[in-house]
Amino acid sequence: MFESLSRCFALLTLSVLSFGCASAREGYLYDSKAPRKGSIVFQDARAASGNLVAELADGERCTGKFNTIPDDVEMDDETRRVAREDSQVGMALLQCGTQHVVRCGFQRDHGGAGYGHCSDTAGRHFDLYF
Amino acid sequence: MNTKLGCLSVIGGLLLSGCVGAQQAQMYSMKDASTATLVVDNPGASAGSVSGKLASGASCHGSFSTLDPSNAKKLASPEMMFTENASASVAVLSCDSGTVLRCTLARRTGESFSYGECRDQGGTEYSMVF
Repeated sequence: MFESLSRCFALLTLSVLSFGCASAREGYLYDSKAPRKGSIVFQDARAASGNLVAELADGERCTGKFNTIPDDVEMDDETRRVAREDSQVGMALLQCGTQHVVRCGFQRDHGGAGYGHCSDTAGRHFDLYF
Repeated sequence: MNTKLGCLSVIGGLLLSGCVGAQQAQMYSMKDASTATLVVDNPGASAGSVSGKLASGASCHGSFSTLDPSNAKKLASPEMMFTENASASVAVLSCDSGTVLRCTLARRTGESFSYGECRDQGGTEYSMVF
């Protein structure tokens, strides 16, 4: 009985800790031709892939997802496998209105901070900082 | 009986979660935001078959193979980023409608795909995040 409770408590603690690690990161989408900006949130900024929400400078709301690949890495000398990804590059796709999609290419460090460049179906361009 | 059902449930769950088998992504046209699908039959392999369906309903079939990231970079838009520490692939699909899609795809080495883009012979780009 006591053992089951201990195990349950350990699992609960682990879940809470894991949840705590999934930190969101906010950034900005700067319109390249006008002095205005929108916002973007990476819901789990340290994960290799995840979901995004954004609000463009004109108030249009978007949802989407991102995924990454490693850029600078540290290799494990024994296994010759990637031990740590120091930086990553990735792509984010945001679906906004019915005929409006924003695509971003970005690079970021291991802490989740980065920058990139975006274009959309309307031919506009944005600079992304997060 | 119960054991068999349990095993089937686990296998079904793995297939649904994408741990085993094909990998699918929704492709967005960067011209009008219409959606198409791309399916990679064996995403962990260095080469294999791909299929897809355009927004018009046309079916597409083709294959993918791995290439040097520096060569993939030459075929892709600036927002489609490749690195030397990840794997790059190229895919060609021909569709019932006469459309030919030329795609570049990026992934962690030995893993399933992260993101990609395709371009048809008319110059329309399609982007996807897996």
